[in-house]
Amino acid sequence: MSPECAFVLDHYNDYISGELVAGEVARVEDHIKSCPNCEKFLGKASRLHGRTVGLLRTSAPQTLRNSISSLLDKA
Amino acid sequence: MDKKTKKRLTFETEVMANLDSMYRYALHLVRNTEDAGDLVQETCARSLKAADQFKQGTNARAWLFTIMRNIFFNQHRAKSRGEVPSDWTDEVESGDQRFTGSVWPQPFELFLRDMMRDDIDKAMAELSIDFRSVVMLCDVEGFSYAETAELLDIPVGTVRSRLHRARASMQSMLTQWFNKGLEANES
Repeated sequence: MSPECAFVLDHYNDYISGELVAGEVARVEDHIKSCPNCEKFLGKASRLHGRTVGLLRTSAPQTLRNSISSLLDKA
Repeated sequence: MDKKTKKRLTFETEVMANLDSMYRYALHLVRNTEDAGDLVQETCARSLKAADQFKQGTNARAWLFTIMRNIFFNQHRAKSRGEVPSDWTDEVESGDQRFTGSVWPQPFELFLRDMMRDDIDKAMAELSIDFRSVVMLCDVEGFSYAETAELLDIPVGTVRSRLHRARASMQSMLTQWFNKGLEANES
């Protein structure tokens, strides 16, 4: 594995989390332009992450919303 | 409108604006909808009492989450005589998914399409509370590693490693279940 592939592998989670500094983001994005394996891997990881997060974003039930509204009104 | 009333209204607006986030976090702490609703209500009641301490312009959601977490851990301690959810547990397999290709034996888009909310909930339930918490705070609620570290009172490096291991573990579980489902359909 090349050092650039290893860098992507070690940092893809932080990349997805938006926790890399600008230079590191550029390093990842420059590399995936020329490495189909890393591009595919990062794409899959990002899509899986997006789908997972999307499914976890539930909303509070309306009954709870009403209860909290009432609690705030009474206070 | 006097200053106190204005401050109170701002506080109430923050509470209502963060209700979905509070409910999601509560749900992943207590794991059932009824207790989650109770935890949110208790958090709102406590935060109301302490509303004067809330500083406008600060991160209201982080403040509310801290109150919720304290309530939850105090209740948990009371129930389990001092035992708190463990730090690192052995229920999460270590290791990143390498470029082997074996992790994705089936068409990936098919896998994504068939991923269901129940599967995600089940995978989350398999994680320890320490791991679930970082997934909820970083991935779902969008807190930074540093904000999450402050909220959970742990080092940033621990947030990072827990998040990475939690994601790897969930990915591994979801892939296994997906493959089992395919095998069941084929047989």
